Amino acid sequence: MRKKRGAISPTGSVHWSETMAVEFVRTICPYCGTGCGLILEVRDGIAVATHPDRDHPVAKGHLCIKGWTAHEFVHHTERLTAPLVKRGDGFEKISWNKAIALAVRKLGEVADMYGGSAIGGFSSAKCTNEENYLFQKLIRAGFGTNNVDHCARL
Amino acid sequence: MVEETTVREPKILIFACRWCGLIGADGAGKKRMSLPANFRIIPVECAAFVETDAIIRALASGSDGVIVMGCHVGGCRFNDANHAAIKRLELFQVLLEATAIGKERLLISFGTAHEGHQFSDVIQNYTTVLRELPPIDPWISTLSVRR
Amino acid sequence: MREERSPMLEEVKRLAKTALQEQRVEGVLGLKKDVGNVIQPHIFERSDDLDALVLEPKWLFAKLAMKILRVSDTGYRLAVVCRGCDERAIVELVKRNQIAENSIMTIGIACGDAQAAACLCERPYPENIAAGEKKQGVDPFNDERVRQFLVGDTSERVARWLRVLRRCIKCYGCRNSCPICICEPCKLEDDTWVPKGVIPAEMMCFHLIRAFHLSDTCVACGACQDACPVGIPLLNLQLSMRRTLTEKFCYEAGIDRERKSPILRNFFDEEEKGRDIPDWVSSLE
Repeated sequence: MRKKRGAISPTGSVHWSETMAVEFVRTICPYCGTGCGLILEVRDGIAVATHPDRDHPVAKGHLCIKGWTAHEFVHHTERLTAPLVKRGDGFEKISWNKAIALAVRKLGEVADMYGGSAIGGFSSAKCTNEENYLFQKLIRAGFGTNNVDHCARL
Repeated sequence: MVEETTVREPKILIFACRWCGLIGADGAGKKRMSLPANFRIIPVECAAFVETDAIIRALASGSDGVIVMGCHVGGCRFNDANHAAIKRLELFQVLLEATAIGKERLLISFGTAHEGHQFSDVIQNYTTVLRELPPIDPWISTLSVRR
Repeated sequence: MREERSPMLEEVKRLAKTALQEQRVEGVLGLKKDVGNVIQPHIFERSDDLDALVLEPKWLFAKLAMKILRVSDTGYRLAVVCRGCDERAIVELVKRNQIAENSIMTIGIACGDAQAAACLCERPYPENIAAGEKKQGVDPFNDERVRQFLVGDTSERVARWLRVLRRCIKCYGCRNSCPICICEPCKLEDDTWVPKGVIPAEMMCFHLIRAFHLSDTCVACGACQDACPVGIPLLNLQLSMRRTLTEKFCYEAGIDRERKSPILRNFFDEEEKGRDIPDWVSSLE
């Protein structure tokens, strides 16, 4: 069934688009290095369920528990939506500019004082390949150290 | 290995329906009959009350056998609840046999344990049957389930 | 394989297009061959799109159809291109009030000999065949792969079952892909019944609980087995129970829309139909 979705543009006009209410999107599991194919069931633009891809040469319709729940983190309510800085016992929201400036200053201080290898970088399997490439570039070329890893290896 | 099976007393868990099965156990106590000490009774309202998942957990927790005691098929206090119970338990025995756990591990004893001596006979005969079976230990993969 | 099924494919496409054009349904659920020869499930809503419909590989839609109908608007009707086991699963879901009968239409296709042999299927065709020839099924109990688990020497069978069940990684693939496993919440996720954090899955708790919950509803589609990443022959858990139901009660899940499971009934209701009362004398002391 096609549903109409409206979005309001900055000028105030409404832009209507038609999407299928239930769509199946083929993708690859973001977690480990096996790269099983899976099919996301997308309802109104939200990934709600995962189905195995029986046609995929690697997975052949099999998934592990992480693959079966790969859709859960995308729209999870507990996802961070803004940068947070630790103040005392809790966290406070700050702007992106301030967060980046703070990180640059503090990491730079550590690198200057103790050398690049004092920095370790932990990325995430839930990031895209492009984001992980930039991240390791920062650690390896920027800080000059090999201390970079991500959660799928652990 | 064989010596271990005969030396260790098999442990039996009994789900006894309050209206028939339990009377026998009570009666056996009243008559001061000598009963083996290897069983525990869980009173339930009706034999149909017993879900097979509970029987599975009993076996997984280290019981060697489970008995479900209920009323005669025509004489259930709740009219025909034990018909469904018996069909369900018989089908469950088929599953136990298919997975090589052994259908002997579940004894369906309806309408037999009214008198103390009947109750005592059921337990003793069943203990003999269980002694012949291989131990259930390989099926229990973790100690976390053993209580 | 593809050439052999062409007349069947054309027939299915024709039926699906007519159903859409005559507005008997609003969507057709089937497999679509996309750019790059990739195949995925798709809801066809325009009859021109149906040219991309394919029938291979084996893909089961009963659970997907149920979910789609749950979120769609009232009055949305779906046609499903389904095999024999799929149609039986849909019948079981209709019986259990998960799918409204008048909102689903089946376009039944019969499986070929090769597929029936691969699935060890007794009934590789739907009751309402729209395309394809009805082929003779195979009896799974004649196959050595089934017999070695279900029939014969107990100690050997114990060793075999333990060896395969020890491989379980608790991915819940069997439960997720089974068309009948629809309970929310599912007992297998409850710590009281299945201990949390135990890998391989506690053999008796996880597998026997799941197997028995499906006992009278399993349609032997093999989705559980196909989804298992470590190759546990899960269908063998159900075959003996299905055989008992057929022999003692003449009941097969998914065949008769009107008949509820015999396990839910007392003996008297079924006596008129001439069903055998199981020999319960044997289970009394």
